[in-house]
Amino acid sequence: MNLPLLLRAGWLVAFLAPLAITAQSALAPGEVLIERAMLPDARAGSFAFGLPGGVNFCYDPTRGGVNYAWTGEFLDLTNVRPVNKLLKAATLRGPVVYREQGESPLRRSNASREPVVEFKGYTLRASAVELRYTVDGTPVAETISALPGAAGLKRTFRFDRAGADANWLYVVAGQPPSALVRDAAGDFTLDVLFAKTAP
Amino acid sequence: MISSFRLLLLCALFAPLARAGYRIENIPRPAELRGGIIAVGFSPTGTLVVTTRYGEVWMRTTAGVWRCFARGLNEPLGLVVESDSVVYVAHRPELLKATDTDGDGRADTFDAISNQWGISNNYHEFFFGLRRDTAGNFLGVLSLTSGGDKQSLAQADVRGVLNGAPILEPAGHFADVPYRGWAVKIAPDGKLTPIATGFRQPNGVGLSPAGEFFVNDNQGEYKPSCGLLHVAPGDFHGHVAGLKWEPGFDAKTFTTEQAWKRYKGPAVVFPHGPMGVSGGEIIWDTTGGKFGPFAGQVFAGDYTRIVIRSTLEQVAGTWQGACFPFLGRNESAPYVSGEKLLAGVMRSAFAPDGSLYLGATGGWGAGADGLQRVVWDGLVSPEIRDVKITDHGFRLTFTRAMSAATLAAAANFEVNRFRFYYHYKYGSPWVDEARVALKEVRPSADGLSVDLMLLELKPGFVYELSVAALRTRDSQPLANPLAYYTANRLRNGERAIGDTTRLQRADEKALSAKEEAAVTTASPDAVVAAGEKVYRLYCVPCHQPDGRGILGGAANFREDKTRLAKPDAELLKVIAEGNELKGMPAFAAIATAGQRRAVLAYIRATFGDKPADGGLPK
Repeated sequence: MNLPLLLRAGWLVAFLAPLAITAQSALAPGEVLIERAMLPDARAGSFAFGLPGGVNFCYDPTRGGVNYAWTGEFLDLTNVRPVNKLLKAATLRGPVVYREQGESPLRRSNASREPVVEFKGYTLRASAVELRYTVDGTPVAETISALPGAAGLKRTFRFDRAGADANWLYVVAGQPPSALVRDAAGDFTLDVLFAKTAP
Repeated sequence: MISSFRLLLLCALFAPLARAGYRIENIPRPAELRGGIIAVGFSPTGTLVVTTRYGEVWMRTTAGVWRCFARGLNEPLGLVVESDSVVYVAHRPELLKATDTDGDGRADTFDAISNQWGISNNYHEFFFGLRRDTAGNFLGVLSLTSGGDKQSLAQADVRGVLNGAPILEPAGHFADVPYRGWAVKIAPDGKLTPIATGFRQPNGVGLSPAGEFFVNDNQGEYKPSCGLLHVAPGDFHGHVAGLKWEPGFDAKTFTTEQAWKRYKGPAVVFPHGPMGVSGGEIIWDTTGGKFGPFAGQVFAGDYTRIVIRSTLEQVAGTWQGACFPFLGRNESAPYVSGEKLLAGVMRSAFAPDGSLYLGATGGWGAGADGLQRVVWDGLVSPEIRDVKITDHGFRLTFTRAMSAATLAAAANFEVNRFRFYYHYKYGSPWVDEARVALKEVRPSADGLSVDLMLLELKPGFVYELSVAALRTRDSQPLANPLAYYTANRLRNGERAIGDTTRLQRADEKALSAKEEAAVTTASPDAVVAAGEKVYRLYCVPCHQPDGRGILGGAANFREDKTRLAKPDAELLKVIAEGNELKGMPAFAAIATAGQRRAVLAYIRATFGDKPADGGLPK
């Protein structure tokens, strides 16, 4: 072994080490993708979430609902990585398989009265996202994850004591109201199944 | 015996390094950290925190390890770093509290502290900030919507009430959703209070060490020039669009004269051209002398790759002060070594070691995205340290003792003054320009200051102080021999309505036509000479003295021959109307038609393939 050469190499490594840039990856495997830039057919401030398994959806925190969902790849962000000030909407990288319209879809007992929705925040969880908001002042924590086989979205609504005993409805324009189903854990659930063809 | 080579090596190793003043360094960053840097801060432990135009928050520990703390944000233009695990972020839709609750180094929980303002998908609707006062309130400013986007707003696409009613003449920017054009205070519980309006594109938000709120707004309609605005509750800072969200405001009876009489101008005007064209964040030097002899002064970045230095004082209860070139104005600046500024300096922050970190945003003022820092090595450059108003003029102080001979010569001080029009058009020419005669010069015995006694000192003007002939006691010229003082008020309390602006008189349009006629009949050489003056005042910051522009930004007249191949009419239209998306201001309200044609004659004569044939552009 050429010890002096090794020593010199070691010195070189020690000398250069401070110059190396160490960084944690921006995205861990399995993390939920998130984007707040301009999205097609969505009000300003809407979210795009990409769940593991190729299930993606646009959530509008102002109306408090899922605007649409698409499958496949997440977003083409070319338009929102500008070289100047001008921004355009990002492009969806897959077919839209679900759409809903109408304001404030989550309603307490009365399907015809539009409640006031106030967005409070969100938490990124493993393979799911939790959205927090109030409906006429009642706190809601809604967790959205993908159904097996990318067949749709599983939406779970958790309320505090004031909302836990109510009848909760999900009202989408042009469709009859859906009653939320209470599961064994006491949470309310709503499965959104994707269309086989574009809605 | 030591060989001469080894001796030289030893000398090189142990000789003290020559001090140069300020050194600009590029900060290495991981390849994954992409997009312009649009906010910079430090945590209490010294961790560097930056945000990017790609919507991410990155941290660099004091050990040099980078990590992506948060992502998926929309133009996070401001931050307050509470700790290495809690960061408040101002982005377009919300003020968010981003928290790493599980200690993995990434934020997982995002609380919407406030979102009680309107937004659309218009590109211009930024939420600028962010500062936090000692009571825990957050301070920020909401910019106006741009007409340049050409996308009309529809209620279905916006958050908030839509009110499209115009105010006064149609301008290029509007506030059709609340509270665009307003400075806002957000309490810790999220309650939003609109506190002052009249802002257009207030890209720089700052809080002085004493808790005074200042904003650096951008030139444009009703905005003659950029500058530091002192913000107090109820203020109106010029742009009328945001007034529609003021309780009790009646647009039907409102006039430009009423707006002007309410107008609170900048505490410090940054004259358009010599002091940049579009301002960035404002920060106070709180390093206690680690950054040089400017402790307590204010630094502001600009679109034109410069950093401006500014000083403030309260005169009869009104904030006003001076500004000076600091970095980037000279291609080979004395006392500055290292790298060039990469791009427009939108954001900045002082590090715990006293160095100044600068965020470069190529998509804002052209150039390259990146992060730089400015380090002071202890050498004090000769500068005008400060300018203060006195009863009869100004007191200039210097960072080094000046020679008694140069300081005593009145001819070495040139004082000019000017003000602006207050109008709905973009920017303003300098009007009522005049040389101000000196009555007396009183240098101090130590050579560190001089009192300039003016023949006439009037409020309501910006005073240009040029002292290029001054020398230090060791015969050095000043690094930046220029200062602008904004005299909103005199020490006796006297002030002018509209601060450093006035309304344009009806007879001045005719005067403008007369001036234009004078240019038309001038000799070709005189036209080119007149154009050079306009070019140096307004065009140099972006197109550069040599006409080579900024890569990816302002046109390069020398190498890109297509630029000047266009007909006069097309080029004159661009000069007059600008191109906001390319960062070209509109000069119709700043320069007369004759001046615009003269500057085109100068550009063609100086940078074109062939010298101008002497004909004035048609």
